[in-house]
Amino acid sequence: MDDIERLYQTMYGSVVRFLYRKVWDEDRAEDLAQEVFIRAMAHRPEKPRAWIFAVAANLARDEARAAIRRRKHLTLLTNDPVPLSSPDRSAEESVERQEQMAQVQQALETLSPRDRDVLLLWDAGMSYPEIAQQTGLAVGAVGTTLARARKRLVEAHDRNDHGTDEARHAAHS
Amino acid sequence: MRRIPDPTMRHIPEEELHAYLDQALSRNQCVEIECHLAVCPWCREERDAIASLRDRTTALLGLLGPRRIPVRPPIETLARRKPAARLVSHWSRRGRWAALLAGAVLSGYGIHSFLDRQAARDGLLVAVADSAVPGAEPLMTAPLLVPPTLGDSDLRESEGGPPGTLSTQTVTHRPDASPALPSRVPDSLVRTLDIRSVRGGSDANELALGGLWKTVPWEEAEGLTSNMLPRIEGLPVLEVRVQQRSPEERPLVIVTQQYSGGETVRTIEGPVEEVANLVTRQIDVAGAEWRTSDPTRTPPEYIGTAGGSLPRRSIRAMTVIGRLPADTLNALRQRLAIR
Repeated sequence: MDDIERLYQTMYGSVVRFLYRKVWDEDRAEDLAQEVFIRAMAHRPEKPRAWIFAVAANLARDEARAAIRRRKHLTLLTNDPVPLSSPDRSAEESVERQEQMAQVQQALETLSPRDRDVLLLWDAGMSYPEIAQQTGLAVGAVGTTLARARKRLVEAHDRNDHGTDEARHAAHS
Repeated sequence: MRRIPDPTMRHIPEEELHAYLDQALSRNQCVEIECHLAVCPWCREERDAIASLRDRTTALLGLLGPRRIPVRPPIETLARRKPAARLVSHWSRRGRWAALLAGAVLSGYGIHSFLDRQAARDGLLVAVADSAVPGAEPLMTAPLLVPPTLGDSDLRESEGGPPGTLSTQTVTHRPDASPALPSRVPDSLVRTLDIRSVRGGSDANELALGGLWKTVPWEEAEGLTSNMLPRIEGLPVLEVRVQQRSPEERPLVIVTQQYSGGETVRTIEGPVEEVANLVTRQIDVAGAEWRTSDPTRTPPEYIGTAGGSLPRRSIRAMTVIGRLPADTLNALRQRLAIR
């Protein structure tokens, strides 16, 4: 089994998650992740881990540009009823989870693109030197960026959460 | 209440504590930090606060995963999909609104008709490997239930082919064994057919059926098929439909099950020509675009065995069809069982 095959088996889920957090579409994230590994098999890069995430980030960026061009179609798509929720989760739990996801997504979007990239790469399991190589930061600056990104994410989330709680409280009273 | 840092001491910068907890520092740097932490309560508190912030971030990001577990297709499939990947992008550029009507996973397996009928009469399951394809692995290696009256030599005689034709089959004497498909049908014997409808519509989830079909309870269907009713393990069964040409033959069967997202998944099992016709009809009715995982095959040859020396009428085929991505259907195919 070669490096790419091994990475495909161990990293596929992480790459899908990484892409999902950029394109917010499960099917597209899986399509793109497979495209990343197809390219990796063709190119056989020297440092495959870093290469895979770099290509994934590029594909996600291209996808975001294409999405802007297709905004009209995407708006139509959001009306398509394609829920894929787990059947054993109650409807209430499912709604609650969706609310939580939306709050975290909003919080993530308040970060600067660089902070967000560094945070997502770190969460995907990349090392500081790998993150530095991909983002163009100095290795020493990765810790600073991560520290800021983590703080901002949690603060933004808590603000959203607090706002939602207040809105709920107002609705009940 | 946080302590006030001692101004006479040098403290560890915040980003260095992040790097320390992320295990991104050298051994020497770690030792230096640990020595300081041992004597500085303020830095210890700071470290704990950062550890908690780090855990919180991980937990928040953990909420942002895909709702379903990503299904990783086998790497061989991915390697074969090099040209297909470009085709998918091409379709995507043409418009994602074009609905994926169906992905069909076609899994041909040879069951000799004579033995099959014999089995039906005697209440036996007889599975025969597809020995017509040189070098092919057995397509179905379910345990054979062989009664004393029908021994191995009888099987060879009944088959009527050259001696040793059935040598690849698995023959066991386990009358209590529950027949099942092999846990993994070799990928070389599975073909995927993607159909994309340009029409869509509310009836896009319905199959276009021809002829006379009967909806029957599960138990009755088991009786009609001599307990060879296919289904995907773990999904609730919504409906079983059968079409029977003659009482001696095992009918064409469609088992409808529900996937976790509410989509219907249908397993069709029957004589290869009839299964092929049924799938071809879906393409005709939908006015759809299609592609198969085996580019050398065009309808209706995407179903059936290579080589073709075994009479087509003697082969049964199984198809899983649903309005789901082909990879999902491929994963579901692995849970196929015949009870």
